[in-house]
Amino acid sequence: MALQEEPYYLPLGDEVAAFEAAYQSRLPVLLKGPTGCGKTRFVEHMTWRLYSQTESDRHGLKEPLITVSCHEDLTATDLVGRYLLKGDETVWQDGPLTQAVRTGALCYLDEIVEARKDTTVLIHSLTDHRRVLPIDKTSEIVSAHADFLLIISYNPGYQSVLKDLKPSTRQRFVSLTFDYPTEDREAEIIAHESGIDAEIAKRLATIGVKVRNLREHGFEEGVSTRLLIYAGELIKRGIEPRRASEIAIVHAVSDDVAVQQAVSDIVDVIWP
Amino acid sequence: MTTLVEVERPLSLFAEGIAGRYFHIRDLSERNDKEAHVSDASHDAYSVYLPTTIDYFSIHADNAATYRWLILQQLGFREFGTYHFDIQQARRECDELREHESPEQHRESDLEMLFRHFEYSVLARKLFGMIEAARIEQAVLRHYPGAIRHRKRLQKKFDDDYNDKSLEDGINGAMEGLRGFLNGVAYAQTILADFVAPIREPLATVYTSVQATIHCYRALAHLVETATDHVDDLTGTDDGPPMEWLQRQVRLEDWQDDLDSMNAQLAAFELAEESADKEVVMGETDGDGAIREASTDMVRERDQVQRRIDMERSAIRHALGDEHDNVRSYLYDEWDYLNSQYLRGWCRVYEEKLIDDQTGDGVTLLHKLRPLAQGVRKRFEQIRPSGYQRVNKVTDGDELYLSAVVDVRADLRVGSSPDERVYSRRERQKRDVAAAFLVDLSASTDDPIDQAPIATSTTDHSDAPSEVNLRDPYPEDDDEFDFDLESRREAEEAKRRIIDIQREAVILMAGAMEGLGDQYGVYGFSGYGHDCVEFYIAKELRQALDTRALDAIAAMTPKRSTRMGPAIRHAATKLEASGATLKVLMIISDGFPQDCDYGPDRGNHEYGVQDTAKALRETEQRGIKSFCITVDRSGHDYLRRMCPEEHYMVIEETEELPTALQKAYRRLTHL
Repeated sequence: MALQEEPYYLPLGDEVAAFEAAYQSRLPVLLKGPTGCGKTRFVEHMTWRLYSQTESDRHGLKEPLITVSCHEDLTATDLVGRYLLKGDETVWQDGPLTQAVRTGALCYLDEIVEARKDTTVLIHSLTDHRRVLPIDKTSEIVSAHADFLLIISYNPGYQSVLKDLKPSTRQRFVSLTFDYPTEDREAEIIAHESGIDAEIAKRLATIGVKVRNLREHGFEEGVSTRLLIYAGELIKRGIEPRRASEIAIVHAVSDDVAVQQAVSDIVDVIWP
Repeated sequence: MTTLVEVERPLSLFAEGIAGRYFHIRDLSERNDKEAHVSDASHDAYSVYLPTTIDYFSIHADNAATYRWLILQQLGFREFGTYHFDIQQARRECDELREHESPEQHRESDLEMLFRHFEYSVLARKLFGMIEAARIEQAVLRHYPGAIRHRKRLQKKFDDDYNDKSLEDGINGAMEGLRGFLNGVAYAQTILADFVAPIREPLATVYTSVQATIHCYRALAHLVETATDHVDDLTGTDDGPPMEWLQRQVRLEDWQDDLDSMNAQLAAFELAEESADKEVVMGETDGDGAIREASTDMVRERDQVQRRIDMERSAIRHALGDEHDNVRSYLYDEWDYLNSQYLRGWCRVYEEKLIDDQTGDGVTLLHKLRPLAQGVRKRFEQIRPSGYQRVNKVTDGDELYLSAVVDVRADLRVGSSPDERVYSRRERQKRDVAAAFLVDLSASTDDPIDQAPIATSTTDHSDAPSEVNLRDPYPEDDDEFDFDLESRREAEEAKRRIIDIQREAVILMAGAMEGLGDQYGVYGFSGYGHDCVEFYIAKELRQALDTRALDAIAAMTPKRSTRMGPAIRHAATKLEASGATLKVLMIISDGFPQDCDYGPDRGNHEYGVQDTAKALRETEQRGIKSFCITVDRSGHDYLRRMCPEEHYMVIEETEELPTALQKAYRRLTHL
């Protein structure tokens, strides 16, 4: 991902300094926290700080951040690369992880526990002192570029216990824990991102807090800051606030009719 | 007309969203004998009480909105700080209070302390109650402006009904209340209006209400003395009005938070001590005596707080009389076969934990059953589908599939469009099954059995290892199995009850399920009466079989009655939420369904049988396979009326239960 402008990120603690320190020592980073609370944005922001702002060689890197959203069918091959058919021959194509290892980009594996277990083998060799990526199919062992750093994220809350991150993997990373911002901070973020006025942003943030109280009822994730921003953007474009919340929040958080009704009722009393 | 039962679930979710914790939504008739009105809505520490029906408006949505408005009002006391009242803060903010000496505080709540500052404490309490309610209403309307229209609509309804003045809300309502209370005291309300005005301000707090109360009290006290014949009523100190007790309850929650943080700190200390010990071993330092000392002090303090919490909790329970605190409740319909209709929301099911703390009993039981469990687990493991299978000719994979590549070349040579599926990949084979084991915990499971027991190890269980490898709880160490001492075995036989066999069957099944990889939950049920069905959770569907779950299974004990219908409906709801393709409900019981009010006549079980039959049919309709296993030899009589023959099994010998359960499960899930 090429970054032209500084991605907006409102720090909620010392995470920026902690990440920078980890990067200076090339310590792999694990980001924990619920979906839509700003992990990806944080990584983009840090990439901009570490790559686009710097005077070093890193500045020239075209793709300083390579993000992979992991899913249950994602295998090691998808990360490392595979042979493709091209005309009469098979040619090797680097996967996103190999690309990052070679060029010295940041590689961000989002929701890593969703991926198949064979991916952890790659992670292990890249995150200890060896910093190498073995590629079986080409019989190659790629040493990581000096600037390369692996970042993974996972959400211990909603993934099933069967998919928990193994301690042997978890202990290779320094961990930064994220949660949804406080109501005031979230209002600030919503106002900035969607461009609506502070009063409306505050009401949206209140909706966020109240709806997250229902997390246990089938939507462990709660409502993300991202969804609240979507609602703000709809309001900004002239959609009536209740309707905007309906579209962006109520139907997005749950399929359970009673839960939808409750969320809709909460939205109803919060808007004037 | 809108009934509370119709809207109970969305209302309880709404309340949970607003308050950030669960509240039971209950019918006011559970509290008041008289016909309840919206103005009687109330709350206690765990519940919000609302009228049985609301029929003010012709549109259902408007009546439902009125319910929500009442909830907002009731929860407002918690949200806007009534119960966080602090007497010291009040004394700092109100000069008039400082004119009195601070009363000595023992275990009373701060609100009780406040009222003790007044000669006519009942008058002060009543004034404060009304003024604070008005402040809360203002705060609710400011915070939830969407409720303004619901409140206005309700007010208009009251205004339209000339005789219904007493139902006015807010400041007007407070003034009305005062007028009623001070019947005969001339000019009272005009004097008070100015005093009460500040509570309308956005920054008004509970202390603003206290200030207003003091002003009103001062203006009224001497009038009261001259104008009412009931001065004596105003000096009494009746114990336990809800507001004071609710504050004590909130204070208890704060104490609990303190306790939790103390425990967290202690855990940190323990870690620090451990590492300090290691350092000593390495001979680099003398260890950190300071850490140890600090942690000893903290342990002492923690124990004190714990004792204080226990005492206070028992006092609050005694006063508020709620034994179902901190659990969720759910309403379910019941089938009344006599009138061929559902009784809507008739049964309240409480979801309860079996144990609070780990006991280690589960691990002991597991070890006792180890020889049997190994066999069972192996049988199930053999039928588990193998982990991965290679799938050829797919668009995306880890290997090129040679045969497909050759085809592509051939296609290209002849000029036709090649197939893109040239890869092969490994895919996991998995079973998508969710099973719930529902165990009858009625009092009759306490009955002894008269058959020979299943073969169990008679080694001394007291030294069973405290740590178990839960991924493989049955290691292959048959050698340790000590074939028995006859006398000990007989002694054990004498004590064996139905519940023991049920527990063993479930533990064995859990071991088997671990081998199989299906998700499963273990639940028990009992209760007494339609409004108190107890649904015990030993292990949730997505929970791992950890020591806590094992201990909970071991803690299944005979309890009360057998109201089977609502327990089945609740288990079915859980299974449905699992989202699994194949959902299975296994019911393990020892007799027919019965409860104190399960039908008009306790001696006649037909009502219970019919409701259970209906619940099982509903379960089938929801795509869940059910199966009943009973150890009651006369089970055929009623089971054939409850479900088709292929859906139940009567076990002649109780000892056969574990084997029968496994067989039934395999049959049901196509193994």
